[in-house]
Amino acid sequence: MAKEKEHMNLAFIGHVDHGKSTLVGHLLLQSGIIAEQQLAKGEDKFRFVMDKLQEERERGVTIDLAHARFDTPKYEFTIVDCPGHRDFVKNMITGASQADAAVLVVAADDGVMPQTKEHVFLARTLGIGQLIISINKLDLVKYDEEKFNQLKEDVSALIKTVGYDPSKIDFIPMSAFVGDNITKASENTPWYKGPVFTQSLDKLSAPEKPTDLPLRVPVQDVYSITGVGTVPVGRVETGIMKRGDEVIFEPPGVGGEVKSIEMHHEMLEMAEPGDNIGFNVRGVGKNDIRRGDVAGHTDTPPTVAKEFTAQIVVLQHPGAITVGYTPVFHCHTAQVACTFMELQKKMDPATGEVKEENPDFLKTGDAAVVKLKPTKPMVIERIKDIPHMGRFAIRDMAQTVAAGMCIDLVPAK
Amino acid sequence: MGEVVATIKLMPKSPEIDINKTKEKVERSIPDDAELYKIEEEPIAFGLVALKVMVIVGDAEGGTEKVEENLSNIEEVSNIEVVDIRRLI
Repeated sequence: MAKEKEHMNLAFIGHVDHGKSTLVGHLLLQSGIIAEQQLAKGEDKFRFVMDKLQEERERGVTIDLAHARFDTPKYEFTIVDCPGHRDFVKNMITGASQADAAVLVVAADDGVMPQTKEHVFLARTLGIGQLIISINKLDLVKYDEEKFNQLKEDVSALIKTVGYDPSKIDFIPMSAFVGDNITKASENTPWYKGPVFTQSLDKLSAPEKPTDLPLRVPVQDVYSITGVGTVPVGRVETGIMKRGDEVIFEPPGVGGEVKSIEMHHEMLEMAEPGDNIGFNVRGVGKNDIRRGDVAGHTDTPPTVAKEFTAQIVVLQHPGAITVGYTPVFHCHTAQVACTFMELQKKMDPATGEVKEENPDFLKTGDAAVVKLKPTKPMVIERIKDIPHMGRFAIRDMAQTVAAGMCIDLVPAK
Repeated sequence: MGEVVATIKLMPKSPEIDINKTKEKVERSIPDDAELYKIEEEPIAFGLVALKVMVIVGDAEGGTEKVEENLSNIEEVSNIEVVDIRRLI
C-alpha cells in the first residue's frame, strides 16, 4: 500500500479583492474537488460553478468546501482562506489552526496594498516560514512580463522586511480566473520558466511538530473534579509532557509531578504539540492556578517577563499610540494590560528601513519596535526561542488595534 | 464582503452540566446577523465535554465579537475560544 501523504495546512492571504477566493475555487475545481458541471468548454465553466455555488447557498456544500482537502503528488493540503477584515486578526493569532505555509496573492493591476503588508507581517507573526507568491490577475495587464517583474521586486522588498528570503520563494504569474499556471504552464506567459502553482506546492517542506522545544501548555481553564482533584485544561503548544514529569506553572510558580493526562477521555502516557489535554498535578490546588498561566518542565520553566521588546504593526487605531498607552494584550490564553514604555523605532512597512528613531507617536499602518511593561506578571517568550508563545494581538475599544511579536525580554526572576 | 465560518470551542463550567440544555442556550444565543451551522460535542478529559459551535458571520467589522460575547454569557460555559476561522468561497 502507498505511504500516506503528509498533510499540510495552506493559508491564502492578501488583499480581499486580489482574487484569493477565485484562486482557491479554481484550485479545487482543477483538483476535481468541485465537481465539473455539464457545460460547454472553457473558462465559463469555472464561472458557472462559482456562480452556482454562490446562488445555491447550500451551506453544507460551501462549508465542506472551505474545509476541503486536495492532493498534489507529494502532499495532502487543507486550504484556509483567511478572512479579510482586521477584526479577525485576534482569532488568527490566538486560534489553534496553524498554517504550515502561506500563499500571498497580489493582483498585478493593483500592486502592493496596505492589506498586503499587514498580511505579510501577520504571516511572519504567526510563525509561517514558507511562502509562495501568486502574482494574480495578469490577464488584466495583458500578461506583461515587465509588470510581473516590477511587482516581483516590490513584493520582494516587502517580504524581506520581516525576514523572508525572496530568492528562496517562488513568484508565479497567474490569472486565477483564466486558470493560468495553476496545474499546467500557460501559453499566455511563454516568458515564465518557473514552476506552476501545484509544482511549487510540492517544493514546500513538510511541517515538523515542535517536540524539541521546551514544554509549554497555556492553561485554558482549571477544574476541580471529584475523585481526581485539580485539572488544568489546555493545548500543548510545544514540547512533550509525560506522566511522572515535574512541571511548574508560571507566573504563580507552583508545581509538582504530573499524575495523569487525558485526551478525548482516554488516559495518555504522553502528550505532544496540538493535543488538547486535561492533566492532574500533585500538590496543585484549584486556587493556585488560573487561565493564562503556563505549564512547563521545572528545569525549563516558562519565562515571566518584567519588560519586553516587541515588533508591532498598528492595524487600526482611531488616534495615536503614545508612551503610557495601556491596552490589553492577548497572548496565548493570557489577557494582560501592558504599558507602552518606549517607542524606539518607526519603520517603513514596505522596506523595513528605520524612518524615525524615538517617534512621538504611532498611528494606523505604522510598524514599530516598542518596549512594553506588563501591569501584572505574564508569561511570554522570544519569538526566536518559542514562536508559539511570542505572538500577541493588542485589543482596545473592542477592536484589534495592533499585532506583534516579542523580540527580546527582561525576565522577572 | 464574503462570509467567514468560525469554529468556537465552549468549555463547560464542570463535568456535571446538562449538555443538551447548554446546546439549546447556544441556539438561542446566536445573534441575528450570524447563522448557526452546527454544534458538535468534543470529549476533553475526566468527564469534561466541550462544545464546538460552527457559525457563519460576515467578513466584516466586529468579526465574531458579538457571537463570542453571547456565548460567553451562557451560564454553563466557563470560557470560549475561536479555534478556527476561514472564508467561504
